Amino acid sequence: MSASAWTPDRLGPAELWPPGEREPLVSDSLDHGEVTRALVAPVEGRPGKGWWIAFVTAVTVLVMGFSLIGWTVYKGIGTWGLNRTVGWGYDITNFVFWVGIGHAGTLISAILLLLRQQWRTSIARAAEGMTIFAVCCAGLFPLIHMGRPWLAFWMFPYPNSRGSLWVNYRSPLVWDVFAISTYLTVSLLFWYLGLVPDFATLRDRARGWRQKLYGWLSLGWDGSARTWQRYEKACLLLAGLATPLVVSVHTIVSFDFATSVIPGWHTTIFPPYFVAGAVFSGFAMVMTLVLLTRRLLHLERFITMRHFDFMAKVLITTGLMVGLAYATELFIAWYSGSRYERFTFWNRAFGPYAWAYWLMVFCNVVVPQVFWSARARRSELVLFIASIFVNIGMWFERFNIVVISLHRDYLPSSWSHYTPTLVEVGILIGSFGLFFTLFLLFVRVAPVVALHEIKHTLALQKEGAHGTH
Amino acid sequence: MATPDERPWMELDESQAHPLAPAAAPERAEPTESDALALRRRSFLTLAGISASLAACERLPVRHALPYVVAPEEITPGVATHYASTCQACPAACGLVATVRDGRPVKLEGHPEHPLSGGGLCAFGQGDLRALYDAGRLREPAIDGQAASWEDVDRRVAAGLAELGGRPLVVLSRTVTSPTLRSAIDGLLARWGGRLVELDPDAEPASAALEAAEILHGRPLLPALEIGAADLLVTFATDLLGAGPEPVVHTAQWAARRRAAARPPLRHVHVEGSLSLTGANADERWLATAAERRGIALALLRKVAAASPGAEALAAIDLPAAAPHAARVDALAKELLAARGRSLVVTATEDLAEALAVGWINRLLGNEGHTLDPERPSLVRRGLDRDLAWLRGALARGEVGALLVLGLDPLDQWPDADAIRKALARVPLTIAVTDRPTATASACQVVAAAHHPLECWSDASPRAGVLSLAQPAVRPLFATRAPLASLLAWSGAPLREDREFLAERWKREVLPAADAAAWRTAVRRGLAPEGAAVAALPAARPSDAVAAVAALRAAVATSAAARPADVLEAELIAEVALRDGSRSHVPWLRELPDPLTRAAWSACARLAPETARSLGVADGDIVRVSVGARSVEMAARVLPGQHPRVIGLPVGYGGRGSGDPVEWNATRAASLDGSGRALRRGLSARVERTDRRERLPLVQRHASSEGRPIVFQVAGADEAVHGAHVPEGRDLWPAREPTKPQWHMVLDLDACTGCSACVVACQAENNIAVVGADEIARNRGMHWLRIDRYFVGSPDEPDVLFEPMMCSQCDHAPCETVCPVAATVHSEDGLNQQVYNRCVGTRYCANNCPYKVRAFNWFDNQPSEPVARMVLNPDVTVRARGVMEKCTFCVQRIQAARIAARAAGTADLPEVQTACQQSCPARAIHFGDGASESIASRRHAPRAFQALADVGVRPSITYLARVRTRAAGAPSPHDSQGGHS
Repeated sequence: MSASAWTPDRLGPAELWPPGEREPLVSDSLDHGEVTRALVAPVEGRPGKGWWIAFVTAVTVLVMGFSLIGWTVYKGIGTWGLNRTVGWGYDITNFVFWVGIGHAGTLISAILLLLRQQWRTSIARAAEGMTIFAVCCAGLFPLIHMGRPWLAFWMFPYPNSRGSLWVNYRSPLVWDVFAISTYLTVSLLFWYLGLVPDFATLRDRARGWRQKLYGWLSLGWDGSARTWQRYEKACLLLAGLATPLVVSVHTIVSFDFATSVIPGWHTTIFPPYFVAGAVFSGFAMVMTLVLLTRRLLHLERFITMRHFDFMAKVLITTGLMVGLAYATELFIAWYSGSRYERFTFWNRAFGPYAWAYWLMVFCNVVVPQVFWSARARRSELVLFIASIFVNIGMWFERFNIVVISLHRDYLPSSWSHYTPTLVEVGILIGSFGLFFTLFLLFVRVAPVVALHEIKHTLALQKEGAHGTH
Repeated sequence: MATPDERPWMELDESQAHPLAPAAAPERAEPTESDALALRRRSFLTLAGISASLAACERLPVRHALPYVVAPEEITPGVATHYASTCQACPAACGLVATVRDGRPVKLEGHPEHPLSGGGLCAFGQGDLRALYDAGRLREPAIDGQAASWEDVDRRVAAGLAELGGRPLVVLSRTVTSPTLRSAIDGLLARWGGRLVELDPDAEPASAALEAAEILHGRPLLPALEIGAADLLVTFATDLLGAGPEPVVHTAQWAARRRAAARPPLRHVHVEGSLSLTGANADERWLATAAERRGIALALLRKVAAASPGAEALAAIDLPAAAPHAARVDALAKELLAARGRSLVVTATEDLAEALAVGWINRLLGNEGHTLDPERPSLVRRGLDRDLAWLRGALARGEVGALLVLGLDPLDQWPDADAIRKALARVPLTIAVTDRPTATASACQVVAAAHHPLECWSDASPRAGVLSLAQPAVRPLFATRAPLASLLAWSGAPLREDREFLAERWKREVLPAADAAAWRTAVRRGLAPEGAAVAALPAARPSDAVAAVAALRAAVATSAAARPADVLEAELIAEVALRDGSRSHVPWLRELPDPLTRAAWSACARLAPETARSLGVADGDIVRVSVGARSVEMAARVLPGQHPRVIGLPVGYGGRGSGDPVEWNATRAASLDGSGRALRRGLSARVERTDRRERLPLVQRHASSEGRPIVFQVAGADEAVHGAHVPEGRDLWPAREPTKPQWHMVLDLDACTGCSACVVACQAENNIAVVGADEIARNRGMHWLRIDRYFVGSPDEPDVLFEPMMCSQCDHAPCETVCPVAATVHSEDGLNQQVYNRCVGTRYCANNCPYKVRAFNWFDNQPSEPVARMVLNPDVTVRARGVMEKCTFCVQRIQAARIAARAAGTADLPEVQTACQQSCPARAIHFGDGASESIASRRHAPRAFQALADVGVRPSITYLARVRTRAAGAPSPHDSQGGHS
């Protein structure tokens, strides 16, 4: 293979590569200077028109969403479509959805790091950022779904003067508080640690206040071999710490449902099912986001179709896992012999919300099958559409679990219906505004692809190339 | 709660007033200028204190009832006082006890010693309390629409009455059950000349039955029913257990009879067109239109007469064409003949032939004197259609000299409002005595703003031989006057105060000894003592059997023309919540869902599923019902069990020109009929669909129990329930050493009629907010106690099962484990406690509740008007927005009992009654320690089951299955146990 002849545009499916050769992860025509210049450009330069349009839109949506949150707090939860039977609707659906999205970042940076998957380097930074922002969006919903959100601090076990009052450790909501806050802390630390060498690079290139800011953020990084060694060790340790969290967060979120008595919630399959679903939805969201970022910031040389190829394979795998989970749920509902379970799942598939169920099945099980085709795995359009479908499907999966199980549970006399109000829809859209606002700000203050890791990958790639030749 | 010798009820008597009460204080004690200059610090403080206390009681000098500013020794602030009185919400006049806290009544309960109602109080009666605090009440009298003083009113009325010029003064009232009020009306009419017209707008047709009674028993008074003495009860379209004439009394008798273990089970057969509460509770229900009911009654009479010697004339009576259910009639006649003297047939009809036939059946079966008593008649229905017709004619001809309307609102309830308004304008003097701004009041010259009954002295005699006393429980809130006092003032009687007049009459005519002590005892008990002389009845003419047979023959000869097939029969019905709508401004009653349609705040036209299909109508579609030239539009509600040819239209909703602030569905079905009587049967109606829809405020949308172990019925009292086993699983929770008591409730579904008295009792006791139609339509009602209604069997002729559902205080409460802040926790005595001020409102508990009995405060729901807030029970926290709430088993009452026990130094708690239990006319609710004899025996009865026992939450509520006694050969209720619709 001739390295100089390679351009991203001519990158074809893997099977087009001669046997014994591997498609490079990043363009190997790059040298270190070029990498640095290309990746810090969005941080150092002035934002372009595209960024501004995206940012203004995101902030507008954000302001709209927060105004509706303000309205909810002012008037009461009654502004939503919830009722006596369906106590959770969009609020907890959105919560689980965003927590699920928040899964991919840590999975990519921690588990794939431990598994030495080099392809993660190009997308890890963006995925980690996405994780943080998604967890912020997720955390918003348990807060605002409370009848009295100003008392939310009661969810934390802190020394108080209220006699023996303490949190109820039997409640999965308390576990949630711990799981999510731990996950957020570790993810934040991990993300920040990875940013430190890049902040140092920015510091070295900057003048004036930016130099001061990045100097402060880079914590006196000196680039010495000892620092690098300690950095690598710390990364490995944090990856080890974060790995169980990837599993625990969504397991515990699934406990919100699994430990209850409501048919359709009370299910032992939920922990693995939720984790698989979270990886699925997380990767879908990473894919959406990275496809957009890549175009917006001209990072085609760093995030190549080979990355998407990998991600599409993860999607089809996890998609099949959730499909298996759906089938297992149906089978167990029948096999259990419990009339409540049977009815609940019959009601999901054929009840008044059947459209939501079949939409979920279509988006999460049928759509990813397109990725059996290598061509589809490398078509930006197909990838983008499929990832959006998966995002929608995974939102509806949570909607189906939360709402369809609740609206018809044990006592037929209490059966009811849930229709969201515009306020709820607006807050959901507003949470996307928050997410994209944070992400757009992020790409302006830190390199969206890790400089040092790309350089490392480049070095490995060259070593490998020399080895094969 | 109190033991008998504790003097449970107090009287509000002037002799009890404390010497320092404001009655003894001067009107104003403002110091003169020179005094003020001479003030020193101490005297300033003294005066400031006095003026502050006087400022708090700036009203007129008080002579009667008053909140205690300086408490007498036996009144402790924060401790409830109870006053025995009489409910005046409807003529049934049940006994009541008003619980008064710091001068304001906060709860009405049944009077346990009342000889008829015996402790129960219906939803309507309890709702009357909320009407006392209604912000829309009249606050002062008015003349020609202008506020006036009582002196001016009296002058104007006196001047008007002096100019009658021989034309009669007509007093229009609902049936007057108060002998004292009747004597005051008699006094007024004697002075000025005139006539009393009685009319009961909420009553099912009684006029024909009254005429039949006149023919058969010699006076137009209904014989009193003794359901307790019957083994077989046959009812024709009379809603004895629902919105009938005396629902509390009849429900109590009916339920007590069903519980009587030593006797054969009561069999109840009900014949009707529109599904009623009585029909829902009957063992057997036959569907029949009005004409068919007449046929059935006459066919039964022929069979019974044929087997009765000397009744050949009756056995040969003509049968009308419409006499369905021939085979069932044969069997029922045999049953009736087998139960001679132990059966009871009752009807509410406009058809004299049917009323006479039923009267004859009872006479031939020898039931008179056993299951019904013509000698001791009921006095709650005295309105005759002929009197009403006379009044309407006289008004139209301009023959009325003065019209005094007592409480009623004919302008709203009668159809031809414009004509009546014109006629009223021609009457020289029109007076409305009312506590509400009504349409009639707006058309009257003088509006004598009336006290609420809880501010008045009165008495009531709902049945010959029963007399109870009504005393005020609160000092009048506004510048109103008791209707009795108004009548006395206008008749120029020497005694003008209602209390004086009443006491004088009682001492003179009622009490055995005319001394103060006897009067005080009567006031304290709220009842006339045993052996007291009670109201005189009109003398009975000797009845003439030959004439009675002839009357029946004549009545049978008049028959209505057959109805074409595309014309339905409209039946105007009263629902238990609003009845005739005279209390439709009471939010508690508006919010109370109808037990059958499960719709609150709204009148729905009830259609059989078959009829709805043929009309292409579904729930919530607006239909137009036309009777002759009149029509109303109403949302449809498909109701299984409705006769396919009959459409049921409730009359209590809406109102014209009343400016009703809670008006939501301005429908007045009563205006369909031109006669001015509210509840009509057998109207020929055309029903058509409109293209409009309405979101019905339904509290229950699914009618079937889906075969789940939720509710059961059995064929006999000793029969066990199948399929409601409690799983004997391994317990993951650590065992708790049970303390005593462990509170437990048993609900007897065989006694429960679904009358919903408990729902209002719970609402009043526990300060449950009213949320309105829109919120109910969104399924956000706040009721802690609801009565689920299930249909079992075929949708055309289903069995109806009611199941009161409230927090089950589960031993393994799923709500408790999931609350993150431990706002819902388990108490030692087995209660599932809700700590409102700890709740952050995650709603997880409600989601995890299998019974869905938790209610969340979606908004700030409590009323903001100061008057409306006076009804709040100070013992119960008013919940804030964003907080979860639910039934507590009336923990405030349990705590009160605990405190009382501790104060008395005893270990045993006195008996605790929950609010729902207290109000239940059927005594279907039992509450106490789960280990106590009365609870434990019921918990382990064969009929006992727990709803959703298989979920394993161990509820502290046990239900006893409904018993349905079918005739031999009829399908057993087993077939449809816990069944489908």
